[in-house]
Amino acid sequence: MTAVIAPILLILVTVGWFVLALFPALYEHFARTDVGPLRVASAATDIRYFGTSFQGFVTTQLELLRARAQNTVPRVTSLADGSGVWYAPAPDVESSVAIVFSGAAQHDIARGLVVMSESSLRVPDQAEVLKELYTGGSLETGSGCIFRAILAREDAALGPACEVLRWVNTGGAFSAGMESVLWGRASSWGSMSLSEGVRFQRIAAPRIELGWPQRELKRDMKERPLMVAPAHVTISASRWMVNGDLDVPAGQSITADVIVSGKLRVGRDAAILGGVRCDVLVAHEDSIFMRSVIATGRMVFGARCHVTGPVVVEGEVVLGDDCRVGDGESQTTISAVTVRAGNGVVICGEVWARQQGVVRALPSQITQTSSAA
Amino acid sequence: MGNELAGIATTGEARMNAFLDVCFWMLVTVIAVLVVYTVRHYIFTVNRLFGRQRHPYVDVSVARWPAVTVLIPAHNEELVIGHILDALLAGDYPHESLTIVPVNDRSTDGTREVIDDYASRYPTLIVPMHRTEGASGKAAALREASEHTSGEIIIVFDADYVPGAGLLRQLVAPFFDPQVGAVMGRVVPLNAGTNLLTRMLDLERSAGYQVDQQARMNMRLVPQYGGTVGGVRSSALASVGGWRTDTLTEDTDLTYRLLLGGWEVVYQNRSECYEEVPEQWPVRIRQISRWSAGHNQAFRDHSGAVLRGDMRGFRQRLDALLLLGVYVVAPLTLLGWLLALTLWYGGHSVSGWIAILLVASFSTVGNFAAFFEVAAAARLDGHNRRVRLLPFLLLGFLVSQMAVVRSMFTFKRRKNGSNGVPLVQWDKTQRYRGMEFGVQLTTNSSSQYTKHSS
Repeated sequence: MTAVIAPILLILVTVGWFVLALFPALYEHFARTDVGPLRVASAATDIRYFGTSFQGFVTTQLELLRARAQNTVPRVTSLADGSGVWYAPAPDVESSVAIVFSGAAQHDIARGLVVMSESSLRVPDQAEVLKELYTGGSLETGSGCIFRAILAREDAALGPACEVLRWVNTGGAFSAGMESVLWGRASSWGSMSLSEGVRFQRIAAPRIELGWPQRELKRDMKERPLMVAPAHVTISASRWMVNGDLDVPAGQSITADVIVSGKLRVGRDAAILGGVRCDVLVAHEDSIFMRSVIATGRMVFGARCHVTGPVVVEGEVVLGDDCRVGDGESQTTISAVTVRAGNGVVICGEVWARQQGVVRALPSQITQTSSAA
Repeated sequence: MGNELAGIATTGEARMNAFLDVCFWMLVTVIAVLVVYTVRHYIFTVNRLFGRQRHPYVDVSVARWPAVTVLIPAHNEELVIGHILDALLAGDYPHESLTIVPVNDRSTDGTREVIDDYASRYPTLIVPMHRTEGASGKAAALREASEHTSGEIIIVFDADYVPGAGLLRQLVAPFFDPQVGAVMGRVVPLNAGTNLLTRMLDLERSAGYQVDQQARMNMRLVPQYGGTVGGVRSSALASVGGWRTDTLTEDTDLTYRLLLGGWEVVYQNRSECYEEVPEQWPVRIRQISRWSAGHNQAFRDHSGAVLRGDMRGFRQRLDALLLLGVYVVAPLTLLGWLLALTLWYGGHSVSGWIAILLVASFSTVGNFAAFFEVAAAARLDGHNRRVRLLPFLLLGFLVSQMAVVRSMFTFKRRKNGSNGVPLVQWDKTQRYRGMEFGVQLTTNSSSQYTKHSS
């Protein structure tokens, strides 16, 4: 009997042991707890996504708030979902500025009231608004303020050393005072002006001015002598392919795409009319890039360089004083891990600094990079 | 007489031993190859889980966008062709730089009528091409259509794909890099939850893109252009001779010709696009048979050039070779099983470490690394609960293995009688989506996918 039972038990135990591993699989197969297709990327990649979404939310809430308002005095009330809001109705006099947070103590605002103002708003020094702030007019803040998120239908001007934790979106011009920090997304439908010392991550506007007052600079499109391809350049499908480094002499130009596995040095006032791909780029003053510039390592532009196409760097990009990236007719993108921009830089389009960008004067940057790279 | 018999027996035994020795060293070779693929799986997975992730072009959202031609090869696609046209029209790529070319190749259903209807409504955007003669098949359709396009960039979608609003920009962005010859996006099964097969294919696709392709991108190896949800630069295509019409997998073939021509192929993991995966095993077997036959054809065509070092860097060359050989692994595994059995019943004494490797390699249908990769991919996608289905993948892998092996012997290219040039015909994967999907598409919600009742 034992001789029969033993092998049967052995078989059962073996089968059981095998089936044990299948239990979770069988459960998931029949219970179907996780069957939906992967959600693909949505509109959230748009820099203005949060601003646009919040605008939609605000629109639905304002009707309710207006209906409740008995006069033009700002007061603390609640939104449809019950959360607290400091609401300032439209004033009687069209051009007046809402009294800052009247009707609510500063610590109430800081503790978690949404701020919604139908007209322009002035925020005092050191104020904290840790939920969203909306103004139907413009916004002007004192120094040292902290905001979670700002939506301004018109202009917004942050004072020195202010901080935005998530996003800011303005319908008009946007400016940030010295040493302010813009975490997350900052976008403007008008112009954007960031003072020296401002740190940022993702910014976008038709025209972004960094640092000191901008000077009018025109790209010098004079005809430059064509560079003769050195011996180590292979020309393939209208591309200059270089296994190693390449130096473009000052004042000369290349019309082809340039692909360099090592370092590309572009002399003063030189021009590359095709696209550029390299490991490290060192571009001296007044050089011009008419198409995209891509680097797997680092990129340094000297003063007054012009780039028309996208700038993509897998490391750091340094923009010398008065550089121009993109233009009014052709907005473009800068994408890098870190961005350092000197004074007077103008960027038309969008900047992605995955870790951080900063506006800071950079004296003798080319020399430093040349020796370090 | 006794001595003669003893001599014969000795000679026979010697021959048997020699045969077993040959089997043994063949087995060692097979194991060595599998170990390389195992290590490769682990390296990719660990890189994807812990390494630095490269998405260099994904941030480019504002630029002067180049002229793009979207090619949609279609053969009897009346059920789905309207959906992709709707999706492309709803996209945010500047319409002044966009041309959509549905390439209707000898459809016998209502594909022509659907396309013409759209073309009449969007005459500047949709420029259809109806093919009634010339070589048949996707590659031939692409070749002819490409010759008539003027866009700098050609993007290709199969007709059953549903691109999202921003997908075209994402796929075009890498082409700002002058070294990039082709771009590949990520394919996401839309009918993932239909049945066990689609759920397993969803896991496999996830591993293939989320881990395999992205790890290759991270490590600057060889991401593969997959023929759909991707694109190619017109000048690059022209410089390597255009689409080949005598190959079953024109995408793999193009990947290698571009690499050998000094171009780079990049992968955009966040450029995701829905597709339909097979819902029936015979359809799946047919699909994978075609892929493996085409891939092995590319192996024959390009492995020599890869070995000769026409590409940049040892690592890239090695990865290119291993990628070419992925469909050789299945028959090698089967060969390994046969060799192991032969050695066992032949009485060959195998040293201890070989025995351990044998157990590790073959008792787990190849190796566990692939399962690790699938699990990692599901986790990266945030699909933790569907990882429970992992044991069922054994079944999927076994079926794939048999299909791949069978394809090596049965999947033959037809010959063109006139000139003897191998001719590839349409080998379409069955569609399951219903016409009602077009209405739901406008809501842009994947959860509203419904399977056609028939």
